[in-house]
Amino acid sequence: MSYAARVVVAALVGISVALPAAAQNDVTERFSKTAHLDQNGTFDLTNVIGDIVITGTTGRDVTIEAVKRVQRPNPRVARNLLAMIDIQVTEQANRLEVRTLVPRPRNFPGSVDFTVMVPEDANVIVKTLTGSIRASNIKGELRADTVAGSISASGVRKLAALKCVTGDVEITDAGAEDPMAASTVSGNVIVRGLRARAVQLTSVSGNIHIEDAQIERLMVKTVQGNLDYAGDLARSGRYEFSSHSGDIRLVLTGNTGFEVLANTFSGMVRSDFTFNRGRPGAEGAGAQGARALRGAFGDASAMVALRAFSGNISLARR
Amino acid sequence: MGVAQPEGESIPAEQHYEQAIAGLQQLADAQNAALDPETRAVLTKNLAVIDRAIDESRAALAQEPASTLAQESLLDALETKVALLQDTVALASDTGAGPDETGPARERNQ
Repeated sequence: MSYAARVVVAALVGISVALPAAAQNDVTERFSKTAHLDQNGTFDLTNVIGDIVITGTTGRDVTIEAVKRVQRPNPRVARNLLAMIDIQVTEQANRLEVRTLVPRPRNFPGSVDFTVMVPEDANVIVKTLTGSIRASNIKGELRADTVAGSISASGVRKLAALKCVTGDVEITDAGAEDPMAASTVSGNVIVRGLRARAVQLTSVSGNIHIEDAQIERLMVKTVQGNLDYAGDLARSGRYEFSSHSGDIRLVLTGNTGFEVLANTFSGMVRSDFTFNRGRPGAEGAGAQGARALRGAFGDASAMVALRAFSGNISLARR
Repeated sequence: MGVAQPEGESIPAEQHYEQAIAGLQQLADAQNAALDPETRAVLTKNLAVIDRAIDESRAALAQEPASTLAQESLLDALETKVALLQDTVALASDTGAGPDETGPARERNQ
């Protein structure tokens, strides 16, 4: 390429970078509604695209603030599309249902962001296809479901089910009375402070991290991700961790005695704990580098089962 | 403890999973177009992760047919695949199939 041609190409590249992308007209419309829920009522919101922030508060009012948004180059088209977004609110039998309706949910070029306050004892069901869900200070049951987006639950007292495909699930200072489950396909599951009887956490390729939890029955499972658990075990608790190719790492205080059964097909098992009645596994018990470990620590009141295929397993002392 | 399988023979439960996977895969393939490309890519990538786990477990079983761990890993992976395919089908149904009439193609006509 000649020098002149290079200058022309460079200039053209410079122009294309300098020019802004096709100007988008951001057309928005606000939606506002206040409703009422009696004690232990249910708030049920299904969105299509957009984020949801939902917070429990004192009082019996439900306040729904939403912003419909469409971005298109042609303002007339943007306004027409905006008019197609319908938010329907239905109240019946101490249940409030909110539905975002668009003509074609797939690839609809608009979104609705919700900010909702509910009575803190309300049961909450929230669902969206694309968008994140953030729930806090809810004492009723929470079920949250998003496809492309993350879920964050903080200060929720009755977690029931949190499910997403591409995003992370983050649980902070929460609890569950009944068995609860949190799952993601490619995202991570992060738990910091959870008090619950029975919990199931799963991911396919994401990592799962749990710290400072008080859980009686815990099942943690991933195919490719790493599993980390840090904290104490409940007396008589049952803990099951499995990963195909990820590593499993437990960092325990040792305040609670436990029996451990750890196996990996081609990884390694190592432990900082000295087990008082270890039984030899396939290649020795408790020894670093072994592929199986079985033994008891303290009063062996809790049961820990660790299984990996090619991942490593480690038990460390905090 | 698991029961040792003669080399080359599948675990009985494996056949049930395989049947379920075949049916679900057919449904998922038929409805996949309803999903947005990004979600579809994530699901496809993660199905490949599971398939790799299945292949590795089967290879391990071929080497050590009596390995309970390899059997459990295989069944775990198959179960995970069934669950992910079920989710894929449910997602595709929720999202709804059909062309998007509100997108750029329609905009050009206005």
